[in-house]
Amino acid sequence: MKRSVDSALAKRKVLDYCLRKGALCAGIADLDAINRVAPAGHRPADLMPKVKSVVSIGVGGNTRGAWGVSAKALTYFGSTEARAYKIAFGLAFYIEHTFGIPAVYCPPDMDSEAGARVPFQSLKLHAELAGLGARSLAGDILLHPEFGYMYFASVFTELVLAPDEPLKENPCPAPSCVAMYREVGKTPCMKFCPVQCLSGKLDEQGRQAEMYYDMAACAEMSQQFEAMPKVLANAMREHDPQDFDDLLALESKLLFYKLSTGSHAMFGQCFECMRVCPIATKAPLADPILRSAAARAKADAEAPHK
Amino acid sequence: MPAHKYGVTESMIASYGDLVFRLSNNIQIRRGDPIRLKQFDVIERERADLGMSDGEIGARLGLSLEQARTIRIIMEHRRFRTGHYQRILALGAGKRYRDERYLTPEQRFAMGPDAQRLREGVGFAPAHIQRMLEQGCWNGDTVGRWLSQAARATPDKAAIIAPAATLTYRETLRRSERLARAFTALGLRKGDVIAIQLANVPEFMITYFAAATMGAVLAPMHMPYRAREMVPLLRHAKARLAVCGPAVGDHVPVEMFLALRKEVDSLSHVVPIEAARPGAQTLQQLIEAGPFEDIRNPGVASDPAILCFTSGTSDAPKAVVHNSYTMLANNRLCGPFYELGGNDILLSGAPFTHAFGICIINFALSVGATQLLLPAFRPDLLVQTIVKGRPTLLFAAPAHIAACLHAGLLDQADLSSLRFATISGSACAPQLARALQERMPTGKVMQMWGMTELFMGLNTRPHDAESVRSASVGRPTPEMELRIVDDSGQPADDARPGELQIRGPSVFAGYLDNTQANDGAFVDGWFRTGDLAVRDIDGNFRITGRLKDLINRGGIKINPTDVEVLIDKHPKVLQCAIVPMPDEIMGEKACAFIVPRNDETVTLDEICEWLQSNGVAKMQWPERVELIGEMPMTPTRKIIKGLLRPRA
Repeated sequence: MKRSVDSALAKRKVLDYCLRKGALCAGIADLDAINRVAPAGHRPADLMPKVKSVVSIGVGGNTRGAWGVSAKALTYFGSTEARAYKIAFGLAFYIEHTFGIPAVYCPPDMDSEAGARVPFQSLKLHAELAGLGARSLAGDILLHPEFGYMYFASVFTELVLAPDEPLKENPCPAPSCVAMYREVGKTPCMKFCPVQCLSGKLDEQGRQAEMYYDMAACAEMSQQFEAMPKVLANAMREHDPQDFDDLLALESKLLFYKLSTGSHAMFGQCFECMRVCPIATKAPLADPILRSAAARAKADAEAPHK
Repeated sequence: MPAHKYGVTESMIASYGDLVFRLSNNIQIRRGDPIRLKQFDVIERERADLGMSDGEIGARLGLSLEQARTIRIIMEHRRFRTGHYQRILALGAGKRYRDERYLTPEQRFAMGPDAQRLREGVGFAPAHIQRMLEQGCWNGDTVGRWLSQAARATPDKAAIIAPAATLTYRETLRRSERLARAFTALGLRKGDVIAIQLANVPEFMITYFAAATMGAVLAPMHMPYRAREMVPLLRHAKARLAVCGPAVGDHVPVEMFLALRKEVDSLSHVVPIEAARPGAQTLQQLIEAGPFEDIRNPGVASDPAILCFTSGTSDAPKAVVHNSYTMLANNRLCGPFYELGGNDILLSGAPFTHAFGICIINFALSVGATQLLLPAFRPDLLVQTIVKGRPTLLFAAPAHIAACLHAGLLDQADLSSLRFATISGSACAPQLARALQERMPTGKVMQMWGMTELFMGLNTRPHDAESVRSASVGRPTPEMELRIVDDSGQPADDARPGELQIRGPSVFAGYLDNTQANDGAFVDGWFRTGDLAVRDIDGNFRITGRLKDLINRGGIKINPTDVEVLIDKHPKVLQCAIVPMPDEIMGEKACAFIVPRNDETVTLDEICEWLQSNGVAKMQWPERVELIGEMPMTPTRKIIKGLLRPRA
């Protein structure tokens, strides 16, 4: 049964819940804006017909050391996405229990009807409109000036919550990246992409003028589940038994294994653009110790003088 | 559902494929920041560039949703390059991607046909490999690994002491690694052959270590060789790079090798150690050049490491390929009974261009000891190096010791630093070993028997009696098995001579691309050494001659070795070698080639009288004497009887 709800109080409680459970930040995306950007079939109402609000949650934070580990190990540091999903999953229950209003955890996976690279819902779009980050030159990965690079999760609810605004400024490119672009015509993420899937232009003020992203090339590095049909098809066409065996052996075996166990490892291991991104790697409040200190300082500053 | 059920044909894919691929999320172009700024008109206008859904694409191109989706998925599948993710596997942990430096796994790891051919040269039976590894006779040790370990453990200790310079392990490693990178920058890869013709100088060792570091194969060429001898060896080895020394008189090695590039197709680079030429940077220039990339495919123990041509006592040189398994097993296993340690200083009288010399380099490296260098043998220089450099271990051939003794150079020399003096390379007369022992106040004379094909096979031990150490080559080195077989191929009893056969961790796999040489080289896994030996009841072996030197006189086999030793003692004889000569009645008879002392003349009668007076049976006497001015010798001071036989 629905209860009478104070929308402002509800929003505060929802966001507090997220932060208490470990989110770096959370916000409410403008549903009307989502509907104007997202294509048909991928709008919140396609999942929850009576949706009134979209809550976006951002989770992240790597140590500086983690950004330096080998590429094949870095993928395991990316498991923060699971933390985002966990918070969102809990939040949906929290909303229903607290306010008596339906909520749903937004599935983060791909739309099986739409292929390997099209999600049910764009968690990135929700987060951007909720002010959790702005699109970067690194293939539109969202970056936040204080929290850096995050994973996102969303909750849809029939609870009415006032939307937040997107970030006022885009932190990308950072001043050092602008300086590099002016020297060599590339920002670090463009220069160090292993498949050179990024390029772009800056305007005279050093702001993004154009971002070019070859997602298909990027997928060759990061979405190895797409390799399997190709490997199998190539093997089927091979007449030489030795070559047939070779195609299904060695590293392919590991892919088969990862797929069969449902592991995401090997599927998202390329973070080279983020490794060299000063916003991602030096985000001041992605560090929980610094974040706590900042929170204490803020509380002290706001406390009435004794 | 199959594509044709939606009406998607190859013709449709050809017509729409590129457009669908580009309009979808596969290629995204964003101008400005329209979503953050909620510029919905801009978003609408640029939706095609931002990436469209299948439905939007279908609507735009006049296709059904299913057709647009099917075409997109087919195009993504066709364009997806598998294995591309391997680009990032070497990244991180301080390494950044550089497109201009990226090598595909095929480029990094694939070996060319020449390298594959060399690998076949170390193609042991699988059961043998498994047994050697399980027994610990073989392991992952490489020269590069030993050098790194020593440099890490004792960076400031002398690795190389040469007349002109001393190099610490740190500096030796630095130069070796830089040279390995420079070789790689020249285009050399794992398995490529680097020929080297250098004396025992630091540059030899640096090149050897560099080759080992990058997985190249070192092919030493004996110093006396000139273009005529060199061409067939370089061709057989398919050498890609040659390292050579300075001019000697009229002979200018760098010019010889540069000229040889026309005759040896594989030879691309010539690197002298001094005096650069156009197209031939010096070794030092290569070391100091750069910066170069890291070695991404370093040599491992199972890779071919060295290609040696046998010392030439046979009629034609044969190529022996060793990997680190066979090359280093002896060094690791024999170190303990030599009580070898990091404080030892090793001196090799043998040239590094011979397997014996390489073995001594490896011996020092195995424990991080110091290599004292004698660039080229001369009796006075050897003694001077011992006295000044104070080595703890000396490795020399009988001829080296004999020359020093004959010149009286060892009578007053201070040999007190020597713990061991190991004689090897050819048969050593007991009196020679005893003469050296008498001049060593604290150290012990040892004997070792080996071959290019197997490095060290027999060795006396420090605790053996002097009589054993001077009169025998001792017992098998650890994990090596030896047997003596008679004419019928059956194991011979103790004290009965026969052919020495061997198997074990240091024995090579077979001669490279030489079917004729390989025929009969092995029997049931035993390598037929061609040496004749006898074993006493204590298990000590004595080498009594070469099988092919036996003279079959009417069915009676005569071993000329003992007779040669006696003739060598004749006052008019400087050196003697007996070989078979054809005879219509007896089949073969003995012919003695003699280098007379002081240009004297010596007759067959005088030789026979001498042998008779020494109690030698008449059937062993030579039946012809040929006086010659100089004996043909190998670089390790062994007589090349193969060159005498045609003259007999």
